[in-house]
Amino acid sequence: MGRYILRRLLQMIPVVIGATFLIYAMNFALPGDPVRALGGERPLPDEVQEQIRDRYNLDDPLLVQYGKYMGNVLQGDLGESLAVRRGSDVSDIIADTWPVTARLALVAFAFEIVIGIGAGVVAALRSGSFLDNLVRGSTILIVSVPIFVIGLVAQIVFGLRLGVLPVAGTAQGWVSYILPGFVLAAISLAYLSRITRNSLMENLRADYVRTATAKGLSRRRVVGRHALRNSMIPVVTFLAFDLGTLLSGTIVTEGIFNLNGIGGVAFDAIRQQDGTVVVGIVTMFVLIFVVANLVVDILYAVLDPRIRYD
Amino acid sequence: MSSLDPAATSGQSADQQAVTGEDVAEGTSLWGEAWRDLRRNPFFVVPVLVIVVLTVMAIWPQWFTDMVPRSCDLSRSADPPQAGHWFGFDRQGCDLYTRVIYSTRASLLIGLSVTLGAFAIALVLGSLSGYFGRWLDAVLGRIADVFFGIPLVIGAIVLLTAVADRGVTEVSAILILLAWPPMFRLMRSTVLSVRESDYVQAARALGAGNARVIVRHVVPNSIAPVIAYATVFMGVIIGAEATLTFLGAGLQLPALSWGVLLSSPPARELLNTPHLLLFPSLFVSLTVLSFVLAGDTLRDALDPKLR
Amino acid sequence: MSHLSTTPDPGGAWSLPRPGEPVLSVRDLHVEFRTRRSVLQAVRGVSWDVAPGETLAILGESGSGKSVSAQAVMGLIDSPPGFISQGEIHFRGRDLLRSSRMEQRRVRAEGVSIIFQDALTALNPVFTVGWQIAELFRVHRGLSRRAAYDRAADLLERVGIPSARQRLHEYPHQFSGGMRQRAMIAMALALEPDVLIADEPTTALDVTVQAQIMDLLTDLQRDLGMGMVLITHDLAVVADTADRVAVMYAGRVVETGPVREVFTDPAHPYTLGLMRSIPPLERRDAELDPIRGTPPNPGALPSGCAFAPRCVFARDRCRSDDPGLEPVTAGRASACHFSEEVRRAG
Repeated sequence: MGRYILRRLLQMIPVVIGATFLIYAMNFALPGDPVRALGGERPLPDEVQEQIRDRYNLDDPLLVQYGKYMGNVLQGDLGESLAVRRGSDVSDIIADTWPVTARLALVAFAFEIVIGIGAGVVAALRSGSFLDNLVRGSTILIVSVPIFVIGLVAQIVFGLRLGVLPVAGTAQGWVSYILPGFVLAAISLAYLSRITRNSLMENLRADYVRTATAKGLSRRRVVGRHALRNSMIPVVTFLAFDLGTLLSGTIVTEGIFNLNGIGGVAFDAIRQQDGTVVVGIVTMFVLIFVVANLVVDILYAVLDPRIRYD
Repeated sequence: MSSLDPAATSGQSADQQAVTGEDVAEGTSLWGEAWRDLRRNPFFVVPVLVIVVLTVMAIWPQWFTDMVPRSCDLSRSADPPQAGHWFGFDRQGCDLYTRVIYSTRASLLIGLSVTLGAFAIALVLGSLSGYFGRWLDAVLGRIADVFFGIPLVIGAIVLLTAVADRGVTEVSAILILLAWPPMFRLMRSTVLSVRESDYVQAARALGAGNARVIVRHVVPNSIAPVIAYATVFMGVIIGAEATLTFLGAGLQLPALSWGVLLSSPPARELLNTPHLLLFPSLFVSLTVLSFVLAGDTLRDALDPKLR
Repeated sequence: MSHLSTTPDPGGAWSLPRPGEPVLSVRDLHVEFRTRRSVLQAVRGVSWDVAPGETLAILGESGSGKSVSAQAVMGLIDSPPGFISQGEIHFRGRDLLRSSRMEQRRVRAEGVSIIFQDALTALNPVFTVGWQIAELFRVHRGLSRRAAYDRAADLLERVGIPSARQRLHEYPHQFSGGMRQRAMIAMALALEPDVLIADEPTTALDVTVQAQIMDLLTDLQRDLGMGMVLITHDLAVVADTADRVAVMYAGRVVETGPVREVFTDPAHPYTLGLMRSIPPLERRDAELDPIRGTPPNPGALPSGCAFAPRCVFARDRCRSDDPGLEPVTAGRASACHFSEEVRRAG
């Protein structure tokens, strides 16, 4: 097991380097004058441009630039904001804003797991019923609507028309997170319920489920202990992959609901073309995503003993 | 913004979706039988009809409206729907119906070119990687991992903000660059299982060259699930373009796409002008829904296990 | 999770059968599978029974419905699409199909157990072998974890798995094919059932292992005095191990009786055809005489006798009049209008 984790960690390194290099290269090394573009709508004064050139070693070859940048990143230095909060360290901005994003993600994950898995299990156990068709129909509808449309509609209907839930900011504590959390989770929970349904249905037909029934076990135990345990293998894989969707989703959701989290900052930074902030945040997202997938790989091996560690 | 994990839409691992044990002759009957099923399935026929109409709309928008998208009157900015202008006016005072019709082209074009691009990459690299295995598989697999490590929309945002003029070509190219790995992985895993099948082993034992085995046996027998996935994929990409453009990282005016139409208005303003949100998002959602449904039913029809 | 009483109450609903009297009997069972387009009649009025200590073989080719009646006994017919449309299943005098779910579960736990062809898929891949055997003791006997694992280890030893205590903690995929089937047998025998149904228990195994598993099964059957229902397509296995045989074709029992008599003196053309399709040991060069044609599609059975299209004895009557199972001699029956003629030919 230890060797397996070590091997996966080693495999992760080229992925992280490749992904961050790609992002870095695209952002700072394009033809033309990237520094001029960095200021966005408000062009930077010449001396600031000079400082940036110096700070980011833009006169070095690309690989050297990237190496120095990653060296700084590893020391917690992600550079300075050029537009959104001009002059602040990107790492400070992230430190300020992450609790909001963490809370949002937690609420979304709770929605996703409870509703997504719940609906999937119900649909699988009552396959072909009205409930099953309802779950399948509504999930395919949700999947088809872009997340920002879901967000805007939810905001208009629940917040502004009905006035039952807060639509912007975090002033009201956890209640403020219900609507954005649900919007962030909507598409993922639709996928999750479909995966859970299909996976459980497939397992319910499996031979070992017949064995469990033949052992005289109750239906509850046959489904709950035997079939469900096996059905969770693709579900867990999806959850890790889905973290990428959730992270991208925070940008849209926090932007629409005006939450002051990492995604909200990224939303503003994109619109104001604040390159250092965008690259800093995205680099962090990529790291989170890759680490989450590593964790799931390990979890996967725990869930499915057929996976070999060597 | 939707998930691009091939396993996600089905809940099955890619290996399980593989068409196994069917030779080319049966491969055609696989498609034939799928067609017999699909032609009677409204969840396939209706979406395909919608897609056909949208395609015609993308090619000949003038057939659907007498007005031109750029004749606008600022005094009618954001006016609600009315006689002769079913969808109302957008913020620039242009007829929204005409704008939506003319936006179809860019949205579909991006969806199509990204899908074709990713499909081509998946087809070539996936076959080679799955068939030859060894170091080639390892190298291609690691490269795919790198791109897989970047969530699609986030990666696209970064790359696209760095591009000064973002047209259909630029947006498509960057989406292809980021979105190919899941399709590649699906192709690779189906090829992997087909390669082990008896008829491929037999063809190799009879002395058929690698190129011939790949082109005649492996690809035709592994392509079905990839085509079904590509259909869903196209819907997902059209949705992703709208989201990117909404965020300000996609197409820019004067280019027209559904995302562009949706990109500016904040919710508070939309409360009084809901048509600005409603009509363009209706088109996006209907399009994505059609592709997702068509791809889903296609996959089920092509899956011999479900027969 | 209700804890069922650990011993069947003698004199109650579960009266002990007298020797020689059937412990499990299936009467006129009909099972059909309904799809949107058609109804497949998998089993059309099958009856059989098995007494303590006796081995009944159900012999048939794939698609003959030989496993379906066993699945019906174990409550394994997925509904939909499968439906038991008619018939009775008696275990110790009680009709299972008309018993409560609790009662059915109790019978499956303690009365009748089953082993399947492919132990790799029949065992749950994510639990250890020991856990899956111990589960029975924990659920049905209320034993503690430790006690249940102890009993599981004893069982594994009894079915001939070396170093059983270590292997308890291994997963099914870590066992070899033969060992897996042994573990499956251990699980089936855990609660000392009255009847063991073995559904093609050796088909997935190597030839050398097949004999070992069959030996193990017959030994255990003798020790425990169980009735055994052996479902197979293998004539040699039937000849070696079974007392009585029921030959199935197209969802029906076409001939039944003591194995020796049925095999040496077939009274149904299908059985006769089976006998003629095996090479006799003494004459390697003997010409084989396989049965012509293919089994009928269960969705479109011919009218009259289902075997008639392939039968060399068939007359006009066979194509209109479906023969029922009629006594041939004491303890034997055949579903053929011309069984006497068949016996003379054989």
